[in-house]
Amino acid sequence: MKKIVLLNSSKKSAFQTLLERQYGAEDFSDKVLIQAGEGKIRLTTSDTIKVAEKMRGVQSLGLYIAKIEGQEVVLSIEGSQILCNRITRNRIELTEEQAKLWMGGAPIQLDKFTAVKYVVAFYKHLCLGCGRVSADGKVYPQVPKWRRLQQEQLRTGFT
Amino acid sequence: MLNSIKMSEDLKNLLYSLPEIDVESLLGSYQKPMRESIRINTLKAREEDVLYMLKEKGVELEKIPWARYGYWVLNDFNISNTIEHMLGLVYIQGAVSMAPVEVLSPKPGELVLDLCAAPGSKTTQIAQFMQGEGVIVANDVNLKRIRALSSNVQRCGIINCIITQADGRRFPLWAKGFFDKVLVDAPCTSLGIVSKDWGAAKKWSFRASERLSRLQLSLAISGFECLKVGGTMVYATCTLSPQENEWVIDRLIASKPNARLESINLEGLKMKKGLLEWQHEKFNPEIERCVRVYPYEHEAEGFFMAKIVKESDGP
Repeated sequence: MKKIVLLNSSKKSAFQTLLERQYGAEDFSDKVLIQAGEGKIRLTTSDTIKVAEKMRGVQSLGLYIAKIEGQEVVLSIEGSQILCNRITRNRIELTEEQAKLWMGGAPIQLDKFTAVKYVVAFYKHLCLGCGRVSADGKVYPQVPKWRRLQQEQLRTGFT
Repeated sequence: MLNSIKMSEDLKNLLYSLPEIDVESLLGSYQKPMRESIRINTLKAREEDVLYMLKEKGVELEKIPWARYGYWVLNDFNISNTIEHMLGLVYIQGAVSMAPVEVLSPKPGELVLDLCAAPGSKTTQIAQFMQGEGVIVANDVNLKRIRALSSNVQRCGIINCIITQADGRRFPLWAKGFFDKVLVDAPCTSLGIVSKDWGAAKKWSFRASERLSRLQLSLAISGFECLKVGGTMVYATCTLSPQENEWVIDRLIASKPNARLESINLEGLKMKKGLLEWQHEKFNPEIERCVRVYPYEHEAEGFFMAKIVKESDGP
């Protein structure tokens, strides 16, 4: 099994600083975070790590919550859901139609200019994850392909 | 009716060898789609909130009596293409397929092994019961199927799950006596879900069933050895063949004197007792405590379940 790499205190602190700056969110300081390659961060429990050290053929553990890209944190859908109402910065509220488009992977045109690179989308009280803001003011949702609503059904009316 | 669905000769012989089965009803159920059902994922949202959201969309639901968070979908509605599904607030799962985890009844804080876990319906259900406390090891031998398992574990927001790829038969080498609960949802000939895959009926053979039963027995023994003393294992298949069900459990309890079969009771689930005899072979009378659920009883999957407790350290 690959060695489980816990996020050490300095990396954890750097991660928290980025989270605070970007999303105004409280941190994951009381949680166990591990590095999972390519800047990916997963959330788990200390018991899970102890058990994983005993197992063979470990493919993954815990929950993928974020990826660090340079000085930016890209929250996964689950990462944004865990922080959810604590996200106070760089959040956009979507209408039902926009939420459907978002979950279909389609870009959303922002009403006003924003200089930030990533925003978190909300529909009612649901967190829909991060989107990348492009220079033309569109937000491209970071919804994995396997979680996207089918476009055909979106065009013909949401069922 | 027998001629309207393509079945192997072996399967016809099998069905007429089962003493209690209503063959006409079974074949009728094979030709109808199963009723759709979902589980509300309370790891991500409150049950009543999700019910409200779905109701607002026009989804009509009815509680499944034996499944804590399970609901029948009464109207024609494509749940799989809703935001709630993609966000992991609901999980589409067969109504009877929720039963084995209900029987296992995992608790927060326990160590639970799901030995043949992909694609993860039962793993995510176990995680829901554990409420983020304790640890689940979800194992599968097939890497391609593990990708589906990983996706479902992620979508359901589970933090206390370890996904492993290993031959389940080898698990006692590193996890003997380690787990409080073990689920062995064994690979099988799938005669309980023929309406999803008619190929299962067309290609079914005694030979394939017998071959699989040897693997199933090895997996059941392996799962049992991974239990702590006092721990509970549920062995389940979605097939009807006694070779893959009663025979496996009969051999398991014959080889493990410290294994005790327990009765299974689930409210509202129509079950038959395990067979005590099949094709001139007599099984241990305890096998009666196993249960069979036929697909026509609930317009859902057919299942076999056995609940086994490890009473002491074995010889």
